Amino acid sequence: MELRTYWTIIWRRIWVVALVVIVVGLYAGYQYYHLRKTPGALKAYSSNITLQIGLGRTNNSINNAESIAVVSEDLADALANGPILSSREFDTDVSNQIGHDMSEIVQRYGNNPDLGDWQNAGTIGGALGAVRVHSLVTVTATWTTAPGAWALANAVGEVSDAKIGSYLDYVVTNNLTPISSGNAVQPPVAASVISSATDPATVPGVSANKVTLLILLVLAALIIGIALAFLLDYLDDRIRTKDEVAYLLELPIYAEVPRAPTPGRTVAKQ
Amino acid sequence: MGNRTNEQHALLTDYDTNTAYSEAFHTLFANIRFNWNSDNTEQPRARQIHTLLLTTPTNYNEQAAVAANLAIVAAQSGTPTILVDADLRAPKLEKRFGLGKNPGLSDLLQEEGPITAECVTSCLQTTYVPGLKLIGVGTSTEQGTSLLLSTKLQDVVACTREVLASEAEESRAGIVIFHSAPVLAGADASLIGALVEQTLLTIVVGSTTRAQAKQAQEQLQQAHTKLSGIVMLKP
Repeated sequence: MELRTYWTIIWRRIWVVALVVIVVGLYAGYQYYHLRKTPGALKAYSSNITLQIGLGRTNNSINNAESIAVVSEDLADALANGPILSSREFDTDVSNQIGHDMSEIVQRYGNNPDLGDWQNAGTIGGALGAVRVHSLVTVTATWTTAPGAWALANAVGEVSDAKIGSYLDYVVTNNLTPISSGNAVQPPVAASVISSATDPATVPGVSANKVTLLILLVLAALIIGIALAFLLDYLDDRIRTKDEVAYLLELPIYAEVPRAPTPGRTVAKQ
Repeated sequence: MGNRTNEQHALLTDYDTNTAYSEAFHTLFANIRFNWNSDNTEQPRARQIHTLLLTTPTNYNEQAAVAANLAIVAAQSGTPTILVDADLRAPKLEKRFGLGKNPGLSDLLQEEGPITAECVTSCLQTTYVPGLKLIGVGTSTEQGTSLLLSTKLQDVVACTREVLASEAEESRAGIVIFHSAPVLAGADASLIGALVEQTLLTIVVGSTTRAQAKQAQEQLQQAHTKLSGIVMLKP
């Protein structure tokens, strides 16, 4: 019975509910349309490449395995969590490398592959992430297009392999005196590709969670609309049912006269 | 029957008898009669003529049609009926029945001599519904609602009952139905309500507010009106 009453109130003020939901729905639809039009907003591609960071061989090098392992892990950590991947120099090198790899990319993805904004070093920096396990660093390139994601991951591997020494370095000290100043030669930092760039996989874009928010927004509008309907009904003093009158005036209802039908037409009894 | 204007078309005689609209008025009249039966079992002849006021808290265009339809149902059921248009602010009933402007209530209230049954009879107009007669607003409405303050109103009510009693058969009850201006528009409804047996308040669903209904009830009670029930209208 209560539910019936609630439904009657909502149905009576359905225009309020509809108005709020339509206005918010239009806004949500507009936002969704923009998200759909923005590359990488709802859907992106990621490709991984795994590198091993270590020390190269040299004559007279320090062959302390334990020390090498510790240094390698520290260097890998510096690559994964440090500012190298987002540095302008590194990202410019990656961008240049993509340019050099263009024939390989064309061979893989055909002519005129959609690589996105690959010449923008700043964008490349934001697209790279990394995790480390001991001396292994897995770099993930998340990009708006599949060819771009692969090209980026591949270029990161090539740049790291060729130039990691220029981004990562270390100092070995013994009582605050650099050992390399003596006869011993400090081994250079090296990176080798353990696992080449994987085929791009589809991942949620940077704004994928906004779709859920937009749906929640419409649902919230529905709830607000219903609440408004109840509020308006509460504030509306007009009599709607015979029960209201009977309760208010404490008088019997002699008759309920419905709307007059069109003269001459028979209307089914209510 | 006279010329039928657009305003006439809202009357009950224009609808099929088995419509919900028509049934509602039959129910209304039945409930009014139940009230007579419970009130009066053995009555002297003059008291078998019942008086009723149908009014509304605020202005509602179709209120005159409600009074007219109730009178039609009463007459069609074999109850001699006189319908009195006491809405001096907005007279409508004569037009509804396709009648012209004739002497009526306002003329009776301005009568120089005492009100007699003959005076009332001279104001009665026969409608196209058998058994239903109408006393219109009349021709002298310049003074407006102040006319109802006249002490002759009581005599008009009494003489109208007397006229109906003389016209009705021995065993039959009759009814005089008054249609007045809205309660909250002035003292009109209260003045008439104080002189009739029953008053029914019409509530228009989705239009009349709780405050208006309550205020109208209080105003009628202040005039010692016997407010006996409610008619709900769905516009």
